[in-house]
Amino acid sequence: MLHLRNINPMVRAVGTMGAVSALVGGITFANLTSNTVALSPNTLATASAALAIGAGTTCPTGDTTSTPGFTTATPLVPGGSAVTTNFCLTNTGNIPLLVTASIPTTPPGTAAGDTTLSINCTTEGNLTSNSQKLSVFTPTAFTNALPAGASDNCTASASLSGGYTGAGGETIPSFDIDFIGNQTP
Amino acid sequence: MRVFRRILFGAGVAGFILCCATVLLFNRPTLGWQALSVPTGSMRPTFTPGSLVLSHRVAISSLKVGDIITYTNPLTMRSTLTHRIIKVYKIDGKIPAFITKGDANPSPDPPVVGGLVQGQMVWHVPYVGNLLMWAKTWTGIAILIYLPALLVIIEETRRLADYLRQMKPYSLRGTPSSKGAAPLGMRSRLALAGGSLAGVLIVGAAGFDTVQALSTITSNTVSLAPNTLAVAASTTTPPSTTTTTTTTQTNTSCTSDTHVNVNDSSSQSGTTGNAFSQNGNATSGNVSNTNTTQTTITVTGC
Repeated sequence: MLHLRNINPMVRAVGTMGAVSALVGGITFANLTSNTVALSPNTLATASAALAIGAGTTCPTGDTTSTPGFTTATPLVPGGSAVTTNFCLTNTGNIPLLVTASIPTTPPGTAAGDTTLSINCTTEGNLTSNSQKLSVFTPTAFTNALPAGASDNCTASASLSGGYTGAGGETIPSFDIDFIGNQTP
Repeated sequence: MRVFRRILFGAGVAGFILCCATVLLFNRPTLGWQALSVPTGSMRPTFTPGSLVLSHRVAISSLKVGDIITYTNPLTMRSTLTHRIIKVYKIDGKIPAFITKGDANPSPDPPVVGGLVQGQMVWHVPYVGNLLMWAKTWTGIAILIYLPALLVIIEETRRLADYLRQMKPYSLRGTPSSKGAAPLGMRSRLALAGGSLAGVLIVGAAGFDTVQALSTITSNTVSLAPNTLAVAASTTTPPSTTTTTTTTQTNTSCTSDTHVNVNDSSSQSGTTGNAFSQNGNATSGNVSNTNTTQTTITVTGC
């Protein structure tokens, strides 16, 4: 275990003083800026960022936060046509949002490694890094922002590489595709 | 005695850090957490005036009737209120909003839009709020923060000065040995210590500004879930390109029927459909197989 006595005195002193100074500075700064002064009267709308998702081409009007995506009804064929699922994103807030897609837990397996996912939307366009492998999908934003109150019909496409060498019949474990909207700069 | 001093020192350091964290939380929301003092009895009997309320930022969509939320007072936009939600609805069907009411109040508060919500109450402690209200004053900060900090810095400066006094001066090869070199003067030591401190403060301030600049409004997360995909049971690779084949055959007899069949071959492993010429009349038909999407066959008549 690292003992304080074994740390170089210079490093310890500078570190301690730095930490104490940072705490004192932070608290002083917080105390100085905590009071609010008002320039009134003003009328400002409070920014609200919220997304909703709907299945198929039905755009949500409520605050639906989840809808089923791909199913095993249409299997993936190596080199064959992409399997698609349609959904609709609605910006239920009052500021434009730049939506980012991510897969929190990427599915394992050879099939997932050979399966490519693309998402295309009417308003937001494609993901800036579209056609990513399912097994290594990194969070990616859409090309365009989704205006406040607007809905956007999207299609997610999954296709299996023609070079897939599996025997067939494999199932890619269930995975989520998450969308989160960020205030546009 | 030595053990007792160590325990006392440890307790002092822990107390100092706790004071700093609490005062910091009390002044500004930190990592989504916020500490607030209750000035009125509007939420009796849930909590009394002078209590400390600890709230944490949550997704607006997760709030429901009965939750106690901390929000910016929509009437003044300067103070905060901590009241119970009695209704959840959406303005124009889009913007989340709440109606709140203090448990001891006879009437509800004005509507609160979702953006004004600062967090949901997760904990409250009686009487501690008054203590923190005092801690928030400059007198409280001076006694609880500045004084211990000054003592720590003085002690560390003293230790650093002792250490520097014992250090051998730095000397280049070929120059007189360290024994002959002049030791660091008091001005140099103070300059070194002051420079180090200034450096730490500048880096800390820059980091603080960066954190502030990166904060943006973020929406809730929506999910396309669950997704399950399956690979087809037979993974025979279909042709990479589609082809169209055209075959022409002449009906020479002019009277009898001529049938044209697409035969199996190395490139055509199966057939469906055919074309024929009836009584010498020209006709055409289509067939397809697994290797060609369409074969157009034309039989020329007389």
